[in-house]
Amino acid sequence: MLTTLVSVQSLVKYFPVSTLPLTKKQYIRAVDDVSFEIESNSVFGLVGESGSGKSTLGMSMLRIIEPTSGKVVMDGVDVTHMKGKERSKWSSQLSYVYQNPVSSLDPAWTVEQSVSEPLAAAGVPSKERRERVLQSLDAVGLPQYFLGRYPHELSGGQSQRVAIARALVRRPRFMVLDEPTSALDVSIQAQLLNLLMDLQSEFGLTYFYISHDLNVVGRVCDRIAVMYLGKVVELTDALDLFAAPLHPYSQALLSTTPSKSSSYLGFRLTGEPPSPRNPPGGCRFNTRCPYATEICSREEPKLAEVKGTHFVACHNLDLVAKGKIQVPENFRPVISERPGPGGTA
Amino acid sequence: MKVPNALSGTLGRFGRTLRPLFHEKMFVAGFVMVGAMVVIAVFAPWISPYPAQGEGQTALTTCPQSAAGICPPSWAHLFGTEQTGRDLMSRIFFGIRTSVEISLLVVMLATAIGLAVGLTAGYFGGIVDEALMRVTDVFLSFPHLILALVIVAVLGPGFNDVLYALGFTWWPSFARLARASALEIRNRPYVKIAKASGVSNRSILGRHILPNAISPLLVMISVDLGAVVLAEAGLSFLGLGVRPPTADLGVIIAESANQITTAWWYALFPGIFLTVLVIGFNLLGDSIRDRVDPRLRGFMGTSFIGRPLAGRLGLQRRE
Amino acid sequence: MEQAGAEVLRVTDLSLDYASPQGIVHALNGVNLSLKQSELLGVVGESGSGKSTLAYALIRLLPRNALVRSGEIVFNGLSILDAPEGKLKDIRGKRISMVFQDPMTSLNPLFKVKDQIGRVLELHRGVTKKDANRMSADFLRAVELPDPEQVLDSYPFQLSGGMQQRVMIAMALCTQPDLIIADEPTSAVDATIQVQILELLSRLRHEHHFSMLFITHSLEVVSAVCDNVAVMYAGSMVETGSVTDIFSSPKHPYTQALMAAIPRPRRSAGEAKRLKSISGNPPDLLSLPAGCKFHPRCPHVFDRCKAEDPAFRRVGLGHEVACHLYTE
Repeated sequence: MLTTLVSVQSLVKYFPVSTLPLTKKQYIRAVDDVSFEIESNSVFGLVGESGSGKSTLGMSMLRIIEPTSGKVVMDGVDVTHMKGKERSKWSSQLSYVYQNPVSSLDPAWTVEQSVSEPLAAAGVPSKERRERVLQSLDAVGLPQYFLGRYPHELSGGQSQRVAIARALVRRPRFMVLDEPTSALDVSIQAQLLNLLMDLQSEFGLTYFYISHDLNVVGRVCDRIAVMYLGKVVELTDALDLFAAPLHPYSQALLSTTPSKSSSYLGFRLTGEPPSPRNPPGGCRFNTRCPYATEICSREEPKLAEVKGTHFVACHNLDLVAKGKIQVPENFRPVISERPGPGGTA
Repeated sequence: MKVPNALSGTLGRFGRTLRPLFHEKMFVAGFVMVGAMVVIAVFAPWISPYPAQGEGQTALTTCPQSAAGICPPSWAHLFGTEQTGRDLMSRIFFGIRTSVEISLLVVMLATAIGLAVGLTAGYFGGIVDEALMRVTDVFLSFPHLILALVIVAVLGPGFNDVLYALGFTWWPSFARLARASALEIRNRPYVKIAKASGVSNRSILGRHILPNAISPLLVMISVDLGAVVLAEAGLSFLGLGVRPPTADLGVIIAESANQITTAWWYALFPGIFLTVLVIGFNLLGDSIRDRVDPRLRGFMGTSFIGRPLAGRLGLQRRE
Repeated sequence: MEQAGAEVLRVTDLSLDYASPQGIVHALNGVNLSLKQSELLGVVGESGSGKSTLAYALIRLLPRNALVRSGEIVFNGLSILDAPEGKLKDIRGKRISMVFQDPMTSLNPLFKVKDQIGRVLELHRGVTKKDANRMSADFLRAVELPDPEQVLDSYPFQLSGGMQQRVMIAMALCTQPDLIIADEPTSAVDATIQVQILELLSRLRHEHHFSMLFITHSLEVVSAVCDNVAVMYAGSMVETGSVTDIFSSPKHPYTQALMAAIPRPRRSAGEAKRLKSISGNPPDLLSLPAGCKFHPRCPHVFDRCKAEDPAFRRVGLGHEVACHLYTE
């Protein structure tokens, strides 16, 4: 039975930028009118490059940063403006795992102290706390003697396990993972991803997985949203996105991986991404898009359903589908195929 | 606030920081110098040859050279005697006691006030920050000399005079450093995660911000201990501080000023001990700074200065 | 290995230790390497493999607590380890350039770009300031920076990460070096920029005829731009060969395991999400196991592996492996 656990509706987060007095106020439009739904027990992926606003979106959903406007609905309840006791109760169902394991743990605290902090904040009596900390550590594969260790005595992979143990200790239902394996070696990343998948099925968790690494997202996610400069440009099931991406930005992104499918024309993006402070008018991608036409610089495309659960925000989907390039200077084809490590699947 | 838990964590890290320090010559030298002075300060009543005189009892000893009682070093008085015939060595030892006592108290007071003000300002930001920083600015602009004069006028000279004068003028620099630390620490992921978990501000301040802010302060504390000793000696030298009969290095040096051509021992010995004490503190501070500095690079390094500076100047990133 | 001309760099049996408070760290253990003219060699390894140490050893920029136990490094006939410091200063930045990982900390934030490139040109090629400015603009154009004059007049923080990295590459190029050592040059930039930079490097290598040693943890990056690959583990080389050989038929169990651990997007709903991870823990350089360093984690381990460190053996044209599975 498919149930929506989290629904994000028109979420907006702008950061004011301090400017000199008497000049016009400027904003960094980090997240600009984003909407999507996350199913229970699924892994929802958010892909984007730096400046796309993906981390801001993750933190806004949990209200670690307060959204400027829009709604976050969890289990049918609008949690956007919850306060006080209600809010504490709600926040116990969430957690956040940060990218850099070393800086997400207080260096002056032992593992036990770090992992039990959320319990203490929730008022769990100290006798019960140790037991639950041990359970959590066990779930992530860390034996008891880690309790007294300090972060500087742990490896990157172990630190991240502690961070995950801390995120699990209050038995959350929804976890936002912001690039949890980016700082880790390939072999450790594999171990940790397996652990995350095991935990998900063992505890019935729902993940919001933020990453710039397409291969990881393509592996572990069920549904993916692609973000560019604060807007979601494409939203669909993971297998669908990799088999047939429809938005030109998604296509360019996927052209950087060796496992590009042949259903679309691969190309390289030229130039630098624009700044989130002054995004281009109309479709934010129009300055680098090879399929851009006149309407693209005037009007922002809406994220619209293309088929079933596949949503794209683009004016010229027909041109893209036919591979009819409008702006040759913005188009640089993918250079020769080289053998990739994808020799064996 | 369960401070002991957090402290033990901090100490755990200090253990890691401090142990290798003993490999460095500068630290060992400083440690030995300061250690010797502290031992003298603590055990002054027992190791002084004439403790009573150290504490202020006057005594006239037979002294052929001078009627005033100032005698050169002899077997009875290894450092000689000072103007009321008291044994100089004992006076110096008790003077060190005063110096060490005052500098510890002043630095403790300054640290306590500085941490309280600085951490609060840095953590909460906004109007709290502005208000507290303006108060800090006011105190920063008081030269301790003037304040000491004012306090002497009000309270009369003495130990307390020095304590208040120095204590109230010394905390602003600690506050600023603590504020800078708090500003940086509050943005660290573990603080954000704690806030998201619903941990109270008070708890975060005491258990996360405070233990992590102490490291950079440690350097300032050790160097300032030496600076306070000098400042205190200076105040006493000018008569604004500790008054006789309490022993004090600054007072002794002041008394010796007139006799410097005839009674060389009178100025030399207190000077040596004062110098050793201050250099010792400085060496300790320097070696700790050298050890801690690479870690400080994160927030005191150029990337911390460059970006906000660029933002302030309105310089845009190129597209 | 693909034949590409005269040999520019040869490392023979290089072993290097670091003295640390916890003990001796065996960072490099008997490393062999050969780099020819115009060759792009990728050195792949995870943390602790010694790849960065190797890079710094090549230009003898090692910390004071480093000790070379044995081995030789010969660059264009010159022995790096024995050369006097003066000669090395002449080589660093001129004959051998380096491109580092984080351009933000490699570029001096207090000086404009034109001052930084200009200084390199003045120092190493003895040009006047006026000529330096003109040449700098040429090199910035070569690294595909639009509007070089603007970039020259900017401070590093005014440029994006990708642009900063291009500036670093221009600085490495401007002395027309024989060898460029790049230490994770694209780890700090986005995927779309990374790919641009990798393709740029590939193009530049053909235009300017330098050899390149490309150090990275990413096999994907290596496959995108390198001719040959050397895989490192715990301070030793375990496998070397051309990119085609290594990726189509990896021979060393570590190389195989590394490739199997790389996540790849699923192609069907039935495909499992789990990855094949490498069992065990990363090597502890303070106490390395006897024999083959990989044996505690190797699925094919047998007795000989625990006792004897395997030597390099040829398993194909230009393809060598250090593994007892192939030493019979």
